[in-house]
Amino acid sequence: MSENTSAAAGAAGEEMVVLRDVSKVFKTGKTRVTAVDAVDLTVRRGEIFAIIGYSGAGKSTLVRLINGLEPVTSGTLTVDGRTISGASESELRSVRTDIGMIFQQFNLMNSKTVAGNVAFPLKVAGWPRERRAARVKELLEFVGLESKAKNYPDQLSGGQKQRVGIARALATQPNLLLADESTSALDPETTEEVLRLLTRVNKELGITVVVITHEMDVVSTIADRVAVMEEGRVVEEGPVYDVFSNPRTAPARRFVSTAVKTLPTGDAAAKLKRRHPGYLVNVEIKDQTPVGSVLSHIGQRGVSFNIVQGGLETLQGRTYGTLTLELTGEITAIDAVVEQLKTVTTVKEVRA
Amino acid sequence: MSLATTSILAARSLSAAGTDWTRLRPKLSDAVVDTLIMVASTMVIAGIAGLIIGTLLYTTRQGNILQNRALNGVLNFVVNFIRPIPFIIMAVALGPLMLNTINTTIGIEAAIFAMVFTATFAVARIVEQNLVSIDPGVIEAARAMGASKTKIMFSVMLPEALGPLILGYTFLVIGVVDMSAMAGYLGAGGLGDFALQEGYRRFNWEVTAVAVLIIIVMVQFVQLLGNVLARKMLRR
Repeated sequence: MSENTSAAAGAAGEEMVVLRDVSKVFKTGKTRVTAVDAVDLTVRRGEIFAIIGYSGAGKSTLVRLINGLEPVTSGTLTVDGRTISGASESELRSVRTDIGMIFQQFNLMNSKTVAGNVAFPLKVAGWPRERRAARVKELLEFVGLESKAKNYPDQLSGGQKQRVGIARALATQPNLLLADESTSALDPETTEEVLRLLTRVNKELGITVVVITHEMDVVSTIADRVAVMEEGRVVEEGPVYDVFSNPRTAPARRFVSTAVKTLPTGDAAAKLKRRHPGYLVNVEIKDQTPVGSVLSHIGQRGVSFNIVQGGLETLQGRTYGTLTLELTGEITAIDAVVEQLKTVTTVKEVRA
Repeated sequence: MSLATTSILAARSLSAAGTDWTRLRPKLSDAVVDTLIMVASTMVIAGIAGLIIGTLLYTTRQGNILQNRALNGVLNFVVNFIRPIPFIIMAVALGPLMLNTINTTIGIEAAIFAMVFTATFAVARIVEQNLVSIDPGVIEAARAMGASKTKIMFSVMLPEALGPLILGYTFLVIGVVDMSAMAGYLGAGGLGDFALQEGYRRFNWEVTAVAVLIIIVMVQFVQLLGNVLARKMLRR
């Protein structure tokens, strides 16, 4: 993949995709639907940027604005210094050969072989036949499907199809790869396989990746930074660790709770309390949080503990998660333990 | 020739047993050739014209690559207007247009003209219906790769729909054979005319049966060819 070194041209951290006050309004008859609402966003070169949101949040529309599949209604959008907003269809065609895209349903051409699918963007870009053949071989080796070159998409599994999709998207050596719900149609195992491949695309080839997803696991596995979308707006944005460990908005909190067990509330808390009659507290675990050393000494106070629920994630090489503890002993002693825990981490009482 | 001999000859030719095949054989082979010419040229000309109109019908739809509400509306109206007209009425109604373009309303050219005109719109609808089944995601993927509209039409849409298109065309061949059987009314030959003139009007059921048999063989052959080709294209 030596030819792809060009993709890494420009220093990492520079602005790659810039959206300034970008809106997209769909008009059908008299109804106007604002799919993307005044979004400001910057994707930096060399990072994996995730956009997470529920279906209908506008994230798929947003990603289609980036390569001009949908024109913006207002605002400015640039990719690698080139202005996408307001560009003509022919200008966009040349921009698009520098932006790869993969899809939830893979969108491979069933009438063409695996090699034919991968060669298609090269034909579009006008590569001569010999260079095409060499490039297709190189790409299929990269995604580990060289033996399937002559097969048709119908003969492949979902994971293999998405790998072909990735090979096809990388064919013309883009600087940017857009992944639209690229793992949503796959089982957990193949999801992992595809995510590993996307990480390689980012690390080995230096390609900036924008991932659209509704799965927080995808974000926690591969992304550097994340934007949370709701009703067409970006409600929260930041490094993945920060958003996970300190979500500031309701949708962000909901997504985080799908990936890591957070403070139990409502029904879940009531059930937990019924099964565990002791005093229940939820403690936050971050890197270097000395919760363990506090707990190892509470026996001296006549308090014992039991871990009843929780989960830890490694995000960008750092630990984050919460544990729910059941504390039993004298009430005053428990109070003292809780106070001590509060000196090292965030502690919340579990209320039904 | 006396009246008596004429009537004897007529009576003999009326009885199936005494069909005069030495007289009929050259007529029959001419009829087969005429039918083949009419069907083949109609399928080629209407096949191409219908492919263009059908592709336009599909691509000018809302949200498609050539989205154009006015053109789509006009094309739809024309196709729906022409398709229900029975062929024989259409052939007659086209008279003035034929006089203005091919300078005749009689003979094989006139028949082909009427058949092409009618078949084009049937082909257009079949093409449109087969293109509709293409996954829009595949077209979006091609757009995302920077493919032009013509590239998308010829390198994505048509290849993706080729299998069903072949089956659609095969289906239409039978309709065109059906039309060709009425070509006799325009003074063109063909198997239909042969069966009518030499069979039906002379009460010679053997001749009629032979004509029917030949048409069945032709249609079966075309259907077989279409199936084999389509299977090859679908390869699944």
